[in-house]
Amino acid sequence: MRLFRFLFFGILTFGLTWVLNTYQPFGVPVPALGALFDPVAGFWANADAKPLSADQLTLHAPGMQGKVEVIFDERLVPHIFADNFKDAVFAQGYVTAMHRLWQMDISYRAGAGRLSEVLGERTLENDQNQRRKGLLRAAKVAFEALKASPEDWPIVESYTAGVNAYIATLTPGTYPLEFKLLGYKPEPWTALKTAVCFKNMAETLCYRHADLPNSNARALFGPALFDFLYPSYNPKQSPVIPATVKWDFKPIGIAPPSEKINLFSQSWPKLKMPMPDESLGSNNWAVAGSKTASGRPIICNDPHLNLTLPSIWYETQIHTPETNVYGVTIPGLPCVIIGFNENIGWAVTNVGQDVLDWYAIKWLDDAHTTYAYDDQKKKVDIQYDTVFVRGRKEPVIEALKFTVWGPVAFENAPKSPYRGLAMHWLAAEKPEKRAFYEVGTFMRLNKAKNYIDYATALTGYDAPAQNFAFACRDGDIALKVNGKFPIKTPGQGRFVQDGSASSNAWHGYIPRPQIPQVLNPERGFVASANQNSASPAYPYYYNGEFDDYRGRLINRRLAELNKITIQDMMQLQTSSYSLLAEEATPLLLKLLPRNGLNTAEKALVKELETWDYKFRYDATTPVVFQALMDSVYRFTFDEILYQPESVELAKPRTWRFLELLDLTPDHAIFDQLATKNKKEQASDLVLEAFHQVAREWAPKFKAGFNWRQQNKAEVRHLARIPAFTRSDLAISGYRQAPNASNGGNGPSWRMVVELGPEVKAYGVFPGGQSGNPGNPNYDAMIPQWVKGEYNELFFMKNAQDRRQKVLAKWTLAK
Amino acid sequence: MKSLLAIVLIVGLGYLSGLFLPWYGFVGVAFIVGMLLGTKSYQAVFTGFLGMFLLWGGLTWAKNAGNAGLLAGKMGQLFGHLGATGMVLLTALLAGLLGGFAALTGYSFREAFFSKKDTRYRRRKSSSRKAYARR
Repeated sequence: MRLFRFLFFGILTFGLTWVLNTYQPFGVPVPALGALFDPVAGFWANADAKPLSADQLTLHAPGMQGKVEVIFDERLVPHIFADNFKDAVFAQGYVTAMHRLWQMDISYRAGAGRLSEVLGERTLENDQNQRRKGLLRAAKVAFEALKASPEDWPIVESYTAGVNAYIATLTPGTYPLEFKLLGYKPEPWTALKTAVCFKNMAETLCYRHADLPNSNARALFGPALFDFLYPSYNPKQSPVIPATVKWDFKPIGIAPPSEKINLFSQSWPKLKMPMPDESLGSNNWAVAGSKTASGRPIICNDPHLNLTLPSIWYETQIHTPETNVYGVTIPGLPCVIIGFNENIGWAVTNVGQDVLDWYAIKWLDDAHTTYAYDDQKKKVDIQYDTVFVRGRKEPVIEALKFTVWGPVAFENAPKSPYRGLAMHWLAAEKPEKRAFYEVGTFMRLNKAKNYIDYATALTGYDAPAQNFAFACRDGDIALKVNGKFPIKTPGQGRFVQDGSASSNAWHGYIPRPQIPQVLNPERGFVASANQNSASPAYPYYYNGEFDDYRGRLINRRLAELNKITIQDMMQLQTSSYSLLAEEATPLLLKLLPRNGLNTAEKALVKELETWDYKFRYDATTPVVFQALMDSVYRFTFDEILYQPESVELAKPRTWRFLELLDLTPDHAIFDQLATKNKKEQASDLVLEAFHQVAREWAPKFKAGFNWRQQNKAEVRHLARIPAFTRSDLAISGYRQAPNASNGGNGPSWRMVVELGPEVKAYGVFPGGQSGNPGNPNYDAMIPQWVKGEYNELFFMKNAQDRRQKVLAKWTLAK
Repeated sequence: MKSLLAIVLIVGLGYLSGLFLPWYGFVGVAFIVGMLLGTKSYQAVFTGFLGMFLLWGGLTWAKNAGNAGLLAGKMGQLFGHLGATGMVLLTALLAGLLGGFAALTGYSFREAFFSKKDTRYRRRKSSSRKAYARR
């Protein structure tokens, strides 16, 4: 009996200990609770008592050449003082990892398709997609190029060593919290992982494509109606490079449209491959001294991305004998990505040009191993890739097929309708051999002193293509649309193309001097907000998705303003005024028949008539406007919405929708399919929508509903853990306004910099330097960001500079 | 007196084991203390529970106070919306529960293999007899 009792309690105790030390015991989705609750090494160890663990610290880091001092200011920004850039980047890797290691790891895993290794089955499809689209392969190609580059490689190597020097200090107790929650260990950083992070950036910014939905829409409407509903250039557009710029060069390589171009009449089912959100975008501009109150140039940037915690950006200052640079970087990437130094400032927005095209493959055998390419019979290149899945004994083996165009992205999905579609993505191409690539570009920008340095730096940069705005202390301002751009025949890449004809390939790349750019334009400013790169007069054809409202508003505002101050620039960045609302509201009101409106509806009309077109979080008018727009749009394009959801159709652009309402209100597109006996016109739809909006929204407004609840601004934790997320933010903004807050998307970094003998710089991002949810700094800047307030950036002149308070001084030496 | 000593030992040795061993080191500590200082089943459970409850509760209480409840409040949302104090209590209970069981196991171990004078269970299961015989 006693033995039995001992065995009983022994087994119970041992069993309980085992359960509490096991990740997801018996498949129950909980972490190892004993380890997690351990006060010494569990989550409690991440409950930081102070923002920074040590005021003074001397670290011995093998792999460095000299000594580095890192001074942290009160917002935990590291100010790195080093004898050379390589050591500085080593320290950058070290401190970035200290604050953001889990973010770096999970971002890399998401890109490379290695999430399932730690998260199990739920991310397997995502991983398979990443492998099939060839992102890891693209990163390996880029890695080989990096390795051969005398400029990029030492930097990447040093950054990697810095990250790994930090990882080497870790014990299970000091792992970032998320490693503990998800029950896995950090692994060493590598240069390949940095290459993957660059490809992640490309995926976020230049992976969007509309070939399939466009082909479907064209098949549905026929070519004439398609061209009518989906014109490619907005006549009201105010392009990135002003129309005053003349294209005095001889374009090369423009071939007539291929005779073998095959516009398929079949419909392609919806791709099961998520794309980055369309509403990602950014603003940047630089204003010449001739337009500013101080007489000095001002440069501004606010990249709009899917906001996350830990934050997308990490502020850093790097001071070496050659340069003193401050700005933000993406954890995983060395150097400052957006920022300024004592001489210049640079700012980036995304170029919406389409650099991903789909080709239909003509298979020559049932096993899909050979395909037709002109008169040749080509063999597909099959590569076997292994995806490890936590909880599975055997890994999943993916047979990836590559054609001359690129990966057959969906070959392996059973019964996939895409068994014949290959993807050609510019960011996956092998870069041409040259002295430096993207890393070199940023390093050179970090050290740049003038326009020539800036222009030279940009020649190393391929993808994702960006509008690089520039301002220099000596007075120059410039903007270069920059990257690798394919030469296309007019219309090429809008639809799925025939992959059996080599003539459907891109016709080379636009020579860099012929890419749209401008230096010191007469109007005294340069600006971009993801709109078309150039006017239709630009000799090369390009297609893509472009902004139609922010860019025009910003250009108009900058043209109006004179004696510009830093405050003016902050106001413009945080403005919730929308040009879309300014143009659409009077149009809708013009079309709305007034007879037969009830009192409540008349009140709504009044509300819209007196609206100032600002999307204030506590207002109801923006909700009415958006609901009305959505309804009229739905009624107008009922032809599209009647289609089964499995067939994805391109949606006409908002600007074209408004143009149709204005210019052709009696066009057949406004006739509703559901009403056989009646032929509706635009005004009928507006009236119907208005009734509907009044009916549906009046009770909600009575209950206190406003734009804040509609816009649902939030900054989400990367693993979507609600407790680590900041939701329901009271921010005034709209996706078609400069302050492009839109649900989980928004300005991820706001920066305003006045160059001169004394640089004046301001910035804020929604989050904090620390990626630890247990650190008070984690989301400390969110309230400021919501209110549109900025921090004065502490651009230290030297290591002794104490104009702002410093928190700690660390020394890294070999 | 033995109980107080047991609690002090569990707290002290449990703390030391936390510094040098994985978290479950305290299971061994409670087992040994229960084995050496246990007088009754309920006494072993009580000392094991209280010792570990005090140790993990005290450590996390201090951590939580230093962090102003920030992280525990967030973590609490993942565990049935407990507050920060609730998380301190939950942590203490978890350790107490396991500590109690471990001390009881230690005590039972001594009872099963080392105790000679107890007669209550003399004529019982053959398996016990075999165990005695092996000794």
